[in-house]
Amino acid sequence: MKKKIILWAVFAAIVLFLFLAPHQNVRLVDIAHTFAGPSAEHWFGTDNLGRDLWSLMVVGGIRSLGVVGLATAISFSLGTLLGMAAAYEGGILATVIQFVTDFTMIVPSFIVALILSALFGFSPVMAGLMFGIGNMGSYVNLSRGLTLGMKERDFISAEISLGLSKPRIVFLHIFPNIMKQMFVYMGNHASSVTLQYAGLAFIGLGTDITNPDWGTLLYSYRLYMLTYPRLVIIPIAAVCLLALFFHFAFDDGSAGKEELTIYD
Amino acid sequence: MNKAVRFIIKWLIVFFAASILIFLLVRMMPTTPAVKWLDTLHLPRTEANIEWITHRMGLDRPLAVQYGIWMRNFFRGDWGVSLVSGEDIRARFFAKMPYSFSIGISGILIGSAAAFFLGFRAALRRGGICDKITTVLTIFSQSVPMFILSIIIINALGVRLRIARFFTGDGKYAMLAAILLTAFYSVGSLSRIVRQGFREEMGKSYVKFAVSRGFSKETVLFRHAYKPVLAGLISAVISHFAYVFGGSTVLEFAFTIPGLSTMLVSAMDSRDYNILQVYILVVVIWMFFVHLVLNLVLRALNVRGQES
Repeated sequence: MKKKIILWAVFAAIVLFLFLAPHQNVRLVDIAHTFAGPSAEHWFGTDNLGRDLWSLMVVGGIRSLGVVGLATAISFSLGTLLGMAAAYEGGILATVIQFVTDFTMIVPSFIVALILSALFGFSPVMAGLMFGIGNMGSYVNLSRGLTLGMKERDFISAEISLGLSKPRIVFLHIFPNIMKQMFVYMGNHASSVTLQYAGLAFIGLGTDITNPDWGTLLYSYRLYMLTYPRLVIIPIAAVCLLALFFHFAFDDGSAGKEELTIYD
Repeated sequence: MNKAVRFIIKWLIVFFAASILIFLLVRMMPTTPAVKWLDTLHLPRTEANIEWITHRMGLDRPLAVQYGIWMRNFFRGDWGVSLVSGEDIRARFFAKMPYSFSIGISGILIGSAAAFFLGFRAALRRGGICDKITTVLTIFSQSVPMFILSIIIINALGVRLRIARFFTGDGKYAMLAAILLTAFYSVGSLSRIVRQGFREEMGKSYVKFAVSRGFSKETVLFRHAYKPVLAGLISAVISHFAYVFGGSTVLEFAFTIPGLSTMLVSAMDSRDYNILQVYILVVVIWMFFVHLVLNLVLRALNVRGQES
């Protein structure tokens, strides 16, 4: 538990730092000093346009975290809610929810993103909404399965016969019990949004190199990957750290101490 | 209601919902194909020109009529012609489908087979080397984008070592690389699911009983506990397929494979309504077959599991 508090504290500090850190104007182009190595002035060096990579990482970090945060918040809250509703209510509501879920899982979110980006442009908010709804399906399925399991437990039927209100049972008694597994799933999948975003940039959509995020940086530096690997390695390292953070911060504490079987 | 009937009704609704959605969505895009067409020919965007070409493309008819004609022709096997080049869309799709679909199928098959064995070994030795590999693969596939790895592979094998030629020749190396990359990016998360499944089976009494009777631990797990694990893996694969389709878009672009996705991107550019619409329908039909086959496999597994 202590480890997790430290982890969250470090994360909060980094986010705070992203907002407060001194950085240069990322639109400042300095053709005389392109591809400069790391120095006191440019901590991570400069890129092909002489822009300060450190500043780009800071500014891009805020945007990337925004997209990831928005997308994950949408898929998690909407997905959990719909899954619980479908499992608890059953009937026509469950059928409708199941249909919508299947629909989002059948039509690849990547392709929907392609079409919607032509329609509405491609801002971080748009991307967050799109990936949030596109990835919602597996959250719905997971929470529905878990809730169905919960419904058969004795304490829930006891509560139903006691006449507790529906929202109360669902939110105060079922949700806390399935929350743990939902968070583990979320932790394992949250950061992949950054890469989906970068993938869209790669095939030529949503690129706005004046407003960088980590995915777009990866896209715009792909040409220099072999000559100046630093430009690609630093954004990858940042995404990797984010993935690791999500992985461990939402890791079920008992996962390491799973029940021993005769195999161990 | 019968399960099969429900399945078919659901897919019919998905099909028509998707067709209506895409039909309206493409028409909501800000630039019309008529304008794009005039631009490519460097013709002025006068009203008369736009009116004439819109009429020629058949886009001036009422929406319901357009939709009706499109659907009727689609089921008759006439998928229409490209608004830009006038080519027959069906012939084009049939030429390109093998590429995209074989990347998806082979990639997933190889990926899930590898995931099954890796997950099995990871479950056997908790915290062992295989267990660590699965974790590292999961994190790797979530933090290093596919296109970066593709570029590294092209450079290493194609440029430095000159083992494989990706952009010349018959393109077999490009296909191979795309398939293996799809597999590689699927292994991580799928193997964690397999591992979890085996761990659950390990605690069950039939496994304990068989082991205490003296069967080797590996044999018991592999021969007798595989069914529920395999079922779990297949359910995961079903939901993984949509994601693979998106991933193959990036791979087709990176290795210049003439698949469906490269066509999609160019059709998007020229606002070719007909191609965009047919594309979504083809994706839905493809997904229908994937779900159908995998659900049948799942069913077969379950029935046998109940019998034994």
